[in-house]
Amino acid sequence: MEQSQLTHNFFYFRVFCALIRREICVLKQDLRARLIDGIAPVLSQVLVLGYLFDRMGMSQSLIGPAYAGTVLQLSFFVSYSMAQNLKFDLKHDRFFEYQLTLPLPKSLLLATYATTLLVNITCITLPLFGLGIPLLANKIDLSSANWFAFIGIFLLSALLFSLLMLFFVFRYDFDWFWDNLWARRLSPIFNLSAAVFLWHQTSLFSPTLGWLLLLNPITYAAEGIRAALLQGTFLPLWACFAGLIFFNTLLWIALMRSLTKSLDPV
Amino acid sequence: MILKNARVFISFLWRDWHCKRKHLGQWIINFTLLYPALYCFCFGYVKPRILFPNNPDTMSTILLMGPVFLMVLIVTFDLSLDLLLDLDEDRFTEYQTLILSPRLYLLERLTFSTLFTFGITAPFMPIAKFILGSHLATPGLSWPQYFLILFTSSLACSAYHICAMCILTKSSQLMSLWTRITFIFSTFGGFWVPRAVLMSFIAEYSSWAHYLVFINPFVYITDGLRGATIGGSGFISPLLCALVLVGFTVITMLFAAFFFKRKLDHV
Repeated sequence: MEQSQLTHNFFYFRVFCALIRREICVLKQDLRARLIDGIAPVLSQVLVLGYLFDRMGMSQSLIGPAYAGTVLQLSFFVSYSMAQNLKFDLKHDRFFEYQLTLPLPKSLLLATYATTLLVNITCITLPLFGLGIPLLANKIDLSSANWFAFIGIFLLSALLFSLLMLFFVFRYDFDWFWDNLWARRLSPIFNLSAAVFLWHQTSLFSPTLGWLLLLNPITYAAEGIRAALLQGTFLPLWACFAGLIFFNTLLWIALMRSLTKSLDPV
Repeated sequence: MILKNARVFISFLWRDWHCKRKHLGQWIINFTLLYPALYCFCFGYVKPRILFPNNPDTMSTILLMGPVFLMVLIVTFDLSLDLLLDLDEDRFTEYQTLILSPRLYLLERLTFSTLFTFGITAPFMPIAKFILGSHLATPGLSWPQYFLILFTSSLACSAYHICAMCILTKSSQLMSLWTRITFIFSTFGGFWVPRAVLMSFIAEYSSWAHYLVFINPFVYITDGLRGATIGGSGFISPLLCALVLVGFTVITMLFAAFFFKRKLDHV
């Protein structure tokens, strides 16, 4: 019995790896175009945050923390763009239905999608984020950066975006997704997070708003990246790790439920 | 002939309105309630007070004009999207161009898109003023000028997106349109900072390149909106901005007609 279970698990693992390999092949073909797509937003952020906002009175010390939010903005766009493709697939090509017939549990199939999104976000966002750092070299101090912590937080953040977008894909129907997702979900989630405001300054400005920002998972991603890379007053790293793990677990449960509901509405 | 064309033109306008009316509630909730409330809070209140504590009220107005412009861009993009998707799939456009000339058909799309966008985005600033009150500095506010700029912005952005949809060949290019063209034009078009700040920055590196800013049509939208709300000599006159935007619309629609004809006529 145990032997049979082991064989099954090994078989699942092979299918899982095959699916991931396929997605990496697709990514290889698209990577150059996607990197070019991402260059303009990054350079625009470098220009605005590094060179224009300080002419209008923004403190130089805010440039680094504000630019750290760019990594999340990019991840957000990349994951949304991929979620759109998946939603189109569910509506038109329905390649997903073919994948459901593969000898793979639903949870592992979802894990394949989440991993694919995570790999895409990492391959596109990290080089572009790195591109901006030399351009802001004299304005950002990375001497105290903890790169291991940064990689950990970045991967957890990428997973968060992957799960969040997958949840939206399976939770909402095509028309609602297309017409309302940006206005009613994505804009509020992103704009009311510490990716846009610094948590410490916001809580000094309004303690209530500071507490409310803690309900938003993106706050932990943004503050974690800042705490890992920069010197300053940010949320502690352990709190960011804990917050991201908590919200990722929550999203995984919600995602499984919404998938089951979308496949079997009765 | 003219009367017949006019009747078909109005019928098409009526059809477009009939199609959009089904989702009008969603449009109103999203664009006249949710977006204004969110952007007023973020760009009009919290962000200027955290990032620019020395001059938050004026910065509120400067920053808030970016989202007004963004909303015009989003709505006109959504409305012109049908033009590309339809030519990809149903090709209902081909039937429509059998009974109305392609140029008049594009003009009809432009008219509908402009009127609809203006109607949807017009309440933004009154709502922002109502919510933010004195936190939004509007010393030189002129409502007629503001609405004139908003109308011509809707016209120019509609023309820009209609032209883009006529040039693009497949829907997968849409993301590139945003990231490679619209994003760059917006950043150098005063989305985040006023034209004068942008020009003073470029002037430090080149003695002539800062004049290139005037080629960008989006500069006239953002500067016009800021000029109509903040006033003063730091912005281009809103009336001049409106004139330039109308000129841009005419040129863009001529390009759109050229590419649209090529798309329909396969020979």
